[in-house]
Amino acid sequence: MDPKRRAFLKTAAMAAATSAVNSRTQAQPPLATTATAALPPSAADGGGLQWHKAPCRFCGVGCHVQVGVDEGRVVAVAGDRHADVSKGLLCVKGYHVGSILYGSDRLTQPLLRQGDEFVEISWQQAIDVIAERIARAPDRFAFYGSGQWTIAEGYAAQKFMKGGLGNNHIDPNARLCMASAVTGYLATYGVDEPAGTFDDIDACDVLITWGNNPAESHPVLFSRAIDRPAHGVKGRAQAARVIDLGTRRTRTSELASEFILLKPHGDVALALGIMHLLISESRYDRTFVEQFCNFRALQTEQPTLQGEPISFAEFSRRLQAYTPDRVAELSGVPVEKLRELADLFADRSVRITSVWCMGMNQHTQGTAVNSLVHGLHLLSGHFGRPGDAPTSLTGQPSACGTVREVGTLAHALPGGRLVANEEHRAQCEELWNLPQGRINPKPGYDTLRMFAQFATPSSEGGDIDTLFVQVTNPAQSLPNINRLMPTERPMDKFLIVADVYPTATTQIADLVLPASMWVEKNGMFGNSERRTQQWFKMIDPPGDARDDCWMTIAIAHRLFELGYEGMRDRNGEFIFAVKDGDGQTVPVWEWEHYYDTNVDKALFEEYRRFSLLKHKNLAPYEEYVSARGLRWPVVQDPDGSWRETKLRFVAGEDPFVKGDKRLDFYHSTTQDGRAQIWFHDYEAPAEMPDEEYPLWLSTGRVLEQWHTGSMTNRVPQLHTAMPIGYVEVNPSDAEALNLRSGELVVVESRRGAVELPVWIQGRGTPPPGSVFAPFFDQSRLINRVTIDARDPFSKQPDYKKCAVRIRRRRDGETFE
Amino acid sequence: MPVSGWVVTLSDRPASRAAAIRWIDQEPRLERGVISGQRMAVVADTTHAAADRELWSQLESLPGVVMIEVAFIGFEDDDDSDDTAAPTAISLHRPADRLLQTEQTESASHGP
Repeated sequence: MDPKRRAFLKTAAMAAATSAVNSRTQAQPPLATTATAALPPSAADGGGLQWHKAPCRFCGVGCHVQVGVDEGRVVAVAGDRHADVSKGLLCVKGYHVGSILYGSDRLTQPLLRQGDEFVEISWQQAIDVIAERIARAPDRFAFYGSGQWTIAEGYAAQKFMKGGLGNNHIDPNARLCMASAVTGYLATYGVDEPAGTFDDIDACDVLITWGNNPAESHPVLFSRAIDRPAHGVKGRAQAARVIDLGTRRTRTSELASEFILLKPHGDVALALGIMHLLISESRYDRTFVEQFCNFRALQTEQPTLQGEPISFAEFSRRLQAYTPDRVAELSGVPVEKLRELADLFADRSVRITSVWCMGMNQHTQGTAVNSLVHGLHLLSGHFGRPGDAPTSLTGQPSACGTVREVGTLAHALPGGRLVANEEHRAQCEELWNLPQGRINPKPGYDTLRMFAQFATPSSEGGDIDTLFVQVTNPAQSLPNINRLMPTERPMDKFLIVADVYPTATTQIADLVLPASMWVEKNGMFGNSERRTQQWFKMIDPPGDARDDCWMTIAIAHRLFELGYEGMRDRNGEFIFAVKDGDGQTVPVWEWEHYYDTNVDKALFEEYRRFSLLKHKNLAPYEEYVSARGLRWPVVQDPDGSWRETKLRFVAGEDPFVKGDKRLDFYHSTTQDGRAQIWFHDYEAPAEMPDEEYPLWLSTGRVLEQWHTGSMTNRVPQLHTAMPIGYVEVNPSDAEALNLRSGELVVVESRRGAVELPVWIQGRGTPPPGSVFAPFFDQSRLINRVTIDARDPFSKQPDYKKCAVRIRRRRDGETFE
Repeated sequence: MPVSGWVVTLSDRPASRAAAIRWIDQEPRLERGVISGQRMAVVADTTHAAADRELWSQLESLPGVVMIEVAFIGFEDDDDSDDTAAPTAISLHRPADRLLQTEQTESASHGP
């Protein structure tokens, strides 16, 4: 490399690091308001790089990065000191996010399976194949998407299916990671997504991580809790006391003030036990509860998410079954620890933030435990002040922005609308200018049902024939994949997969479409704290790779050309028509014209109208261009500026709380401004260890790899740091089984088996009788072993609890 | 050729902290920048990605270093970019096939 260029990069690196050091110790600079202000301090020093902002491509924290581009290639990534979320810092994955673009095996051409081979075909041929299959049986087509879809991609897919085909068989992979969080919020507040924000992590005295490992899964966010003195958080100089509740000791446990080991499903019992103590000892927040809460429980017969009202007396009576001794037995938490936690919640002088992610969501009682933790905060009055918040985290960059807000779940419509609600359908048909009755009132298949129907022969009732997968890798990430995503499937089924790299799913596809990724396209994400973020395309995708949103529009337009009525609006116009400044239609379905206009902006402005329907107001697109994200609801002040919201439902913070109320749950399911505190009984996990399968299995993520590893495995530094999957075994179990670290063993359940090397005293340590395996390794699919039991309301499967055994490989036995 | 900008959080134990700073000063591939409170800016300049990672691990293992976070990475002309290269899209072989070939040596120091 040119020495001058190298010197420039070193200067830029030092400037970025210095900026990060200073930004954590001084007051934060204001948000940049112009493109120039967004540049790193040394960008004008001569290195020739162009710097642009973008959110990181990985998790739901939504750190912002500065992306350095030179001659059409991303060559540098820096933390963004103007970003509230990350304050100039990145985790090891974010640091390498630019490298995910440049793996040598990027998909660059559409590929059609012919026998055992893939042959290259043109995009025109690919679009024709898809459109013809859909036209032949539109009701037997399904679309499987992702929390990595940009907002425009998810919105286009949603409109194509529900508004165009009148088919609700669209669901995202976020069903697998946060559906129980959604049902928990809906059951409690009547509306999805957190009341608080990440600011609560700065403001709390105590941070409780419920079955959550943010030190590995959300490292920059977690650093805000444990590195507070260096953050310069005013008035909160002490680091938060972190209490880690979990079924396995993790990196979070090592960094926490205290680790409390739970039995599987112990979280349900623990929440019930704390609530029982608060009430039986009259230490709950009576004033808060009387002013702002109702009580609710499931119906005895045919329970629903809405449940039925119960009195406070009945709620208290039901809790009496959860005595400290019984809770200790169910949860594994000693009575004295249980009392300490109850003391903590009884103390209104401390501020408590609870965070959780997969541990509480991937749970056959996911809706129950989410609702119980919300209820615990409400019952104790730890709600509605900075630092007093129950907040779920997400694992994908736009699980909230795209899946939950755009509504790409099988039962939903944009703006919190529901397909089963006649009034909601009419609203959407009006906003989309569609004929009345176009939207199908019957919810589509959720993820597990969708794949089960696809794997089942048509002759046996499998009524999904064509499945289009975008931006996700279900052949690795679904539970119990031997059943839901078998490598051999019925002959009449057709799998289309759009992705950036070969994956376990592209391997078994019939048609593979090469996709653009991250800064190769325009995009918007919505992170876990209601923050909507925007970026512009910076470089071209490789070869003939194209945007997922374009694919959807091109397929829709081919159907339009074929005369498919659903692709026309009331005026006979194409449902994705985008007009230029002169009112002329831009042919965005032709790739060469796709970037003649900003399709993202056009779709976002259309979608934004829906956001007003449920107090999730979004600002105009241009406001996001200059900001590092804005947290909805975003409303316009009298001076014309746009204001975000930190605390929902709180007077003085939330623009929709009117009058003299301190709090107003204005989407209350009881329509009285109150939140619901739920009672749910403890239930045992769907499968428990027994003589035949004596160990618990939990699965999860690691710091260096992201989800199925399809991107991070292309980054040498990340791959080298964590190259292969493994099974963590407790030392006492390892001794009993005569196992040593590095030894290959078979991890086997009633559903399947996988061979993994043992790791004793590794990254984490499961308790005796329990093992853990990450799911990033494509060559060792732990999801052959997991169970597809699921929560009855959220339909989210439980990846954290099933029964397995460990044995040695038998002679002649092979594993894929 | 990675050039990285790191934020190193130092221990509050004076002896460990001083030892970590001495180690950084003696390491020619590291350049020390501003120190503010427990945090210090550092630039790493290494010849290839594996060396960058190794240097990170060495620094992270020092008793006087609590944590390292990243503020900048330049990866222009990274000569390790094909380390995990999978076969071409046409063959659609699994990238993990390559991982299996290298796991024995890599896992010895980084994994089980």
